[in-house]
Formats: sequence, C-alpha cells, structure tokens
Amino acid sequence: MYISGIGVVSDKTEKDISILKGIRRADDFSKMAILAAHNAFMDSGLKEETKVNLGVILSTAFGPHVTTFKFLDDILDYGDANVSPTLFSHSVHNAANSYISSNLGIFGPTLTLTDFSKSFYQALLVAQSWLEEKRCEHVLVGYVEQHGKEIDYILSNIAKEYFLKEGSVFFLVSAEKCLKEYCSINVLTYQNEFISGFSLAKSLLEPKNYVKEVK
Amino acid sequence: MNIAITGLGAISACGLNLKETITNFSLGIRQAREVTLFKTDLNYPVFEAKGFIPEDKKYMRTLSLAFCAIKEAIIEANLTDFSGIRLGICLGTTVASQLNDVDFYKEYRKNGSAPVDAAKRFLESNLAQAVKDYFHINTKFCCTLVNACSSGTDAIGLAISWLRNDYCDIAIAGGADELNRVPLDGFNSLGVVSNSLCTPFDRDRSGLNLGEGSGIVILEKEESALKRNRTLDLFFKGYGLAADGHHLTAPHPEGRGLERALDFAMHQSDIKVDEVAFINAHGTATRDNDKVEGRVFRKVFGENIKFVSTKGFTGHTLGAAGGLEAVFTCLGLRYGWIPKNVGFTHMDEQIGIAPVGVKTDIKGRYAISTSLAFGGNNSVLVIARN
Amino acid sequence: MKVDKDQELAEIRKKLKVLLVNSLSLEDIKPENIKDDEILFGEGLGLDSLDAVEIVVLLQRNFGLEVKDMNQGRKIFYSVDTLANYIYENQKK
Repeated sequence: MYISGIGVVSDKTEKDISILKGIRRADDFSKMAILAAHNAFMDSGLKEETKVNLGVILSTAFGPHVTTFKFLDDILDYGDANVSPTLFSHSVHNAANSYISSNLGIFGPTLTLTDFSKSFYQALLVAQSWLEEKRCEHVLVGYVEQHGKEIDYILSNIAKEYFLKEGSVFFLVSAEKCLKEYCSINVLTYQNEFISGFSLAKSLLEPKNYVKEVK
Repeated sequence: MNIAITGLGAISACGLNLKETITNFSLGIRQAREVTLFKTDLNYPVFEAKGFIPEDKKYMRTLSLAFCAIKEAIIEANLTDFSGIRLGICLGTTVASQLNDVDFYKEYRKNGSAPVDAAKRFLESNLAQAVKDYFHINTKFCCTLVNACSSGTDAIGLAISWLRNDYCDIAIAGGADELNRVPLDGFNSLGVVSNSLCTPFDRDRSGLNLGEGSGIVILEKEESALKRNRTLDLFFKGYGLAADGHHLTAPHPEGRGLERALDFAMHQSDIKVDEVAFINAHGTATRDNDKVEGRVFRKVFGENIKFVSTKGFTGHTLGAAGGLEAVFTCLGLRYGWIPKNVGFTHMDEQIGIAPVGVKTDIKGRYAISTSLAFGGNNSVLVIARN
Repeated sequence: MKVDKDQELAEIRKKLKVLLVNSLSLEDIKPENIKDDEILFGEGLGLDSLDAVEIVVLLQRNFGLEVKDMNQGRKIFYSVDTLANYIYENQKK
C-alpha cells in the first residue's frame, strides 16, 4: 500500500483551528485525533468525495485515560447515580473515531484498536487487510496517545523504562498510487512490530530522508 | 474462498455453555437479578453469568470469561494443539481496555500513591494478547478491537479478512466483557438503562439491561477445515462495516450506516434480501436503537422478515455482544429454530414490524447478525448453512 | 412577595447560565449573553440529546432536582426561563 498523506499533531501544535469548531465537548484526545486525521487527508490532496467510503483506523495504547479518570472522579465525588454522561461518552476508546467520522463527514468502515506496545503496527496490518480485500480504496490510519499523571505514576512504578509520547499522527494509505506518494509499505514483510507512527512520519516528512520503500 | 465455522463457544447469563444456552432459549428463561459482582448505589436488573467461577483470580474477569468460551470452541474445532498452525486471534472488548479500577484510583487520589497490583493486572489484560499468552500461541496476528458495542462482530469481520487474504489459516475471534461498575454508571447517566427487564422492539420499551459474557467462533479456510476432517455446516459469507458519521451517542435517525453495512455484506455474500431466513438484531431495547434498526429492517427486508433480539436473554454484553450473537445466529441455522424475542408484547407503530413472539422454526440457508455501536459504528455479518 | 420571587428567579437564571456554559462547554458564549427566552434545543443554543442528559445531572447536583421522564424534560428544558421556573417551583417543595 502507499502512504499518500501525513498529519502530525503534537502537544505543541496550535489547536485553535476551524476544524475544531463545533466539537465543543470533545476532549483533547479526540481533538488531537480529528486534527491529525484532517491534516493527513488534506495533505493527500484527495477529493472530498473520497470521504464517503474512506476507512478510519485509530490505534492507541491507553486511550482517553485522562477523561476516564475524570469520570472516576465523578463516581467518587458524586456517587454512581450522579455522574456526567458527557465524561462517560468521551471515556470510551472509540469516541475519537466517532468524532473523526461525524466531523469530517466520513462514512466508510471505522475501527479502533488497542495494544500496549504494537498498536500502530496492528493498525497498519488492518489497513493493509482492508485494502487487499477491497473493502475500501483509502484508509486513514492513526495513533493517538496522551500523557497523564495517573498513567505516568503507573508506568513509572511498573516499567523499568517507558516512553509515552503525547500527540497524534495519521497517515492516509491507499491501494494505488495517488497524487502524492511518500512511500510504499508492505506491513507483512515489515520487520519492526514496534514501529512508531511518529518516527515513521518524521522519516517521511524530512526531505533528506525521502524513501521510496520502507523496509 | 469459503470461510468455515468449525467451533462455537458461549458463556453469558443465559448459560455457562452452549447446551445450557440452547435449553434456556427454548424455554424462554431469563436469568437477571440485582448486581452482586460489585457494590453500587444503582438498583437495576443485570444479567450476570451466575455460577461462573473464574479459574484464577489473577486474571481480570473479562479474560476468564473469554478463556472459558474459547475452551469450549476449540474443543468443538478439535484445535487443542496449535503447533504448526498459522493462527490469528482477534477479539473485541470495552471494559478490559480501560483502567477503571475505582478502588485503585480512590487510594491514588487520596494519597498520591496506591498499590499498583490493579494497574499491573490491567497492563497484562490486553484481551487478544492475554489469550495469546494463556494458550501459548505464536502469531503476529493478534488484535484487540475496542469499537464499543460492535467490537465482537468487528473482530470476527477482521478475522474473515485475514483468512481471505491468506494471512492465517485459522482464527479465534469474538468478544468478551464483564459486568462492571463504570459502564453501568455511564449508561445510567445517559438515561438508557431500564429498571425492569428489557423488552427489545416493544412499543413500551424503556431501555437496556447490562450483562456480561463471551462469545467465540473458530473460523478457518475451508481447505484447512477439510484437511483437519472437520464437519462443515456453517460458513461466514460476508461482513459489512460503516460509520453513521452522525453523533457520539445517538444513531443516525435513518440508520444510514446500518444500511450501508447491510448493503456491503449482502453484496459480498452475493445473496438477495428474500434469501435471508432471519436476523439476530442488536436490539438493545433503547428507544432510539430499536426504532432505527427496526425501521431499516422493514425498509430493506420487507414486513415479513423474521428477527429476534437475544439481549432479552443475555442483557447488553457490550464487547461480547457481537461474538455471542454470531454464535446464536450459527445455532439458529444449525438447529433450524430461533428463540422468541423475550419481553416483547406490543408492536411499536413507529417501527411497523415485530420480532418473533414465539420460538420459531427457520427454513433457509442464510442469516444475518447486526450490531450498532455507541459512537455510530454499524457492523453486519452474513452466515450460511450448508 | 412578588419582588422576592422575581429576585429569586433572576438569581436562578444567572446561576443557570453560568452552569450551562461550563457543563456543556459552550464555546464563544458568555453567560450574560444568553437570553432568558432563548430556545435551548434545536435552534437558539442548538443543544442536543447528550446536552439534555447532562442538564439532568446539572439539576441533580446543583439544585437537588430529579427529572425522571425525558418527555417532561422536553418542556422543562425549552428555555432558560422554563428551566428557572421549574427549579423555583420544585425547590419550594
């Protein structure tokens, strides 16, 4: 498959963008996801009409845990019967994907998956699977992660070392070559299951590192 | 390429195994009660897998439920030795993916620290990964989907893709979820939980009941199943998946995502609407879901389509629902009958069709299972009998 | 006395507007700019079904009031005025 668009959002990215208007309730996890997905699509130069059958795969290790803990705050502060439905709705892993499809007008297949160490690799496998199966012609594949004091506490007490980068990166991958082509990629033969979306994006966006095929 | 279904496993409030489930379906027995698994201020009927004893407390309950259903399925599939097999594992869940241990967080909030056992257990609880480790399976096709209420269906759909693309020869797929305080509180806050037993598609339905369980299918390429001398009676024909692109908590009023998913699945299966013997519906018994889903059934399949929601027997088992309902759809085709839609009494004029009110014989080779997820995802499986 | 009732209602409306803006994350809207008779759902503020259940929680937490039936809720949640009146009437009980 071919990578034809890239969108990266880090904690330093300016978030006050028109695409984020009208999603007042969305938490930062969802906002980062929408922005990166939107940027990847725009970067590809594909026509708006492609969104009707565009696939979206979002991967994450810990999901919107910041919101999950806020929801647990509600349970502890107000009791089982008095918690915020808005917080609950945003604490589920697939909320961000729901926002991507409703905000960007995408009606194709959408999936959210989770893995603690290889989630982006798993997402690429799913994307390749869909394209080979001809479920759709293009897929937005992305990874979203957040920092949070609770997760940092947990990881620092369990893992000898860990690396958790906050941000979101999305790639538009296509079955055929498109207007733009960063590289081709065959996930089945790709050796590194721990591939980081951020490193891949960095290697493709920096002109000196322009590669034709990712091994 | 034909995708054979060579093993089924199910555990829910309706039965700790397939045999018990079928008996309770046949007798129309519903086994709901107040919550016993955790402390809560909420007083709703729920569908706990009563009598289920997790083998080892070190595992999250969701994992234990999955292990139980997988064991039943792999026995039927005669798949207890995985060596030399190109196997994939694809499972859906919601609860197991979230660190929602209230006691851990309560302590952390208060003291700035807490025993990390709960957190350690969480980090070992990625469902597909845990299954891989527990059964000592070696594969890179190991995926945990968290697509809310359609996770189980989507897991099976993804496994079908893997087999069709020749990434593996056999797959373990489905879903699992335990009854948990957090989603109970959450769904209550959305005003969609009923304080009586749920009545899917009924005119006076007042919301869902939560449940728990695991539903697992073993799917394999037909050539692999033949080589292993399996009896081939059931097959997956198609899988459709489409987003409403509408709203975070409400389905599209005309069910546009469901229609697209149905269209794709039926097209992929190469079957016509009048060939569908029955539908196992998502049918949560919320005002919105059943109205949208029922109306789409009427529009696409006509007024005579037979359909049933089995959530009257299991409650809404979230990530497990798609897995359980695929299993139940298989059972319907295999044994030639579907249970009555328990709880249903009066047709809702706004839907215009009614589910089956009695245990019903089924003729015909094809059946459909639908799932409409929180967040607007819609998934459809088409299953065939030989 | 009518003056007290008007004063109380005015205070309730003021408090409500702040709560609505905060709980529902109404961006670019200041509480003082929400009209008393502004329609909350559909047009006006354009709130939706998720906002409706959030308002139910808001009423529970801040005024101790329960709205059990969402059909009843539709009438109560029509505007800031109707909400404020509901709170005023039911808090007395």
